[in-house]
Amino acid sequence: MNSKIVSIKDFSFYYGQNKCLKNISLDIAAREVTSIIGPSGCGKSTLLRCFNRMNDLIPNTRVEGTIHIDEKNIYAADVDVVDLRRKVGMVFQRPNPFPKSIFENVAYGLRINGVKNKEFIADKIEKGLINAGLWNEVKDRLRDNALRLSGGQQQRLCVARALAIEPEVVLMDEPASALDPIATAKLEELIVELKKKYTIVIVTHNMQQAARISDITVFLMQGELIERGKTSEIFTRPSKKITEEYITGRFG
Amino acid sequence: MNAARFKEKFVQRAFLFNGILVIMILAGIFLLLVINALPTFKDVSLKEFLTGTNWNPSSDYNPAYGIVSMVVSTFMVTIGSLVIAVPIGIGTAAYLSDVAHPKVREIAKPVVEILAGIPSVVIGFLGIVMVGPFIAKLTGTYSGLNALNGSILLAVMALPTIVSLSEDALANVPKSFQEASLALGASHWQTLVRVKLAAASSGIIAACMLGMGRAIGETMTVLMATGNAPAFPSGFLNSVRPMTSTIAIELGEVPYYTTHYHALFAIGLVLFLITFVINMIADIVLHRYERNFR
Repeated sequence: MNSKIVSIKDFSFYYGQNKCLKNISLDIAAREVTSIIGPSGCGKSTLLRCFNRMNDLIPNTRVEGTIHIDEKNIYAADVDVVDLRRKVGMVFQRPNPFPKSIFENVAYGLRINGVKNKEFIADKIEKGLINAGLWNEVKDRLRDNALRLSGGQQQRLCVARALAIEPEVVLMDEPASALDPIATAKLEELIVELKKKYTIVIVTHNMQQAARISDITVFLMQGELIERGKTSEIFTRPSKKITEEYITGRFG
Repeated sequence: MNAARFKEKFVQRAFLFNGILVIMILAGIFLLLVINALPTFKDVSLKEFLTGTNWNPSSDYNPAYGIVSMVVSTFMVTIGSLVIAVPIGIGTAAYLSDVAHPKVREIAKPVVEILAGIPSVVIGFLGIVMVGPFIAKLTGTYSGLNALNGSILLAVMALPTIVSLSEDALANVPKSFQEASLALGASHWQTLVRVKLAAASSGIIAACMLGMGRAIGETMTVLMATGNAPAFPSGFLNSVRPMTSTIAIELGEVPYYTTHYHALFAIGLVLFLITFVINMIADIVLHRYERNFR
């Protein structure tokens, strides 16, 4: 089954007058890991943040074209951004747990949705932490402050927090960039595990990481989509010369 | 070379001297308070002073030196002002940091801060000519110079501190917390209440404590607006006479080195100890918070 869950058509994004995403069209399949790579400033993060409309927070921006998620245009006038963001979770570049307990961090998404049933919340939290591979490390200290965890644990906690409200798509914006190699390896294992249930879109600077964990790789440059293909093909025989030059490290 | 070293030493000594001077002056004030307060207790027992409700030091036959009614008055007016100022202050801070257009904030915040510069005598004046008659009309009391009036005025005086420092605390909450909350499908309102206010709570508590510190020691405003009845207050519509007013009113007329004179210093000492304890509690709250969350 390879149904597309996200469908981007002729999509452009402007910061003021500056067009930083140029007429991008791209489909993203469900239950796969899609990685977006490209040199700094190419618009990877901007594109990712369009999927849950986080860019709405930046003043003076506008979009053209459409992004359909589950066959609904998320930039249509009647879309509730709050609903969209419940369906499309996000993990950020730097771990950003709230200054609350581990338990409360994961419970946050449920609580803001009005869930009050304590057993239900406890159950979801356990599942979320198990899914994020963190349960065994924290089960005895769920009431500890989340900021006392190590960076890698914090980032997996952020994954658990995003998973607790059962999104369909999980966006990850360079999630390993602030982590050491061991924590990165754990996070990568987690991502591969998660694609059984979730659709994952990950922006990464690290080409090896993209090669290791993703099914599909998308190469962006200067706001344009240069190439999209199976990761194995992009990294072995890219169809465009410029992709090959980037991947082999001749620039970027 | 030698001249340079001499200069270095000289500057060091000068700063040391400044530091010691400030500490000495503060210690001196405290000592003056204690030395002048202690003789009170030759004539009045500490128990009577701290638990008596009757303050009538100028009576020839049966002078009384109980400070309870003025301590209660002080706390009534202070707590009343916090009940008014804290919700309004935090609300205003939240509005400025999260809702207001940046241009509105740029203008409104300095304006609020300027409010702190209004002399307390002017605020007291407003209490007499505006707030007082208004309260009198509303409640059918005679003058409107009462604890409620004082609370309202002190709230006005504490607001700039509370608004300004709370807004700073909210603005210092890392943007990443806000992003994380919004990305989980929280509304702006939920993000503000559950994440930003929670993360800024130490700064907000400090802001309120400083506001309280300002209110509790304020003299001129309460002297003008609360009616100055040295009786035990039974409600916010009673005239009250807080500790500060009592000292201000009586110290100018009291014969020196009498028990009455020393008792006024003792009131000052109690006031000092109360403020000291409040500041200590604020400090402990802040540090406990920092240990947990940093």
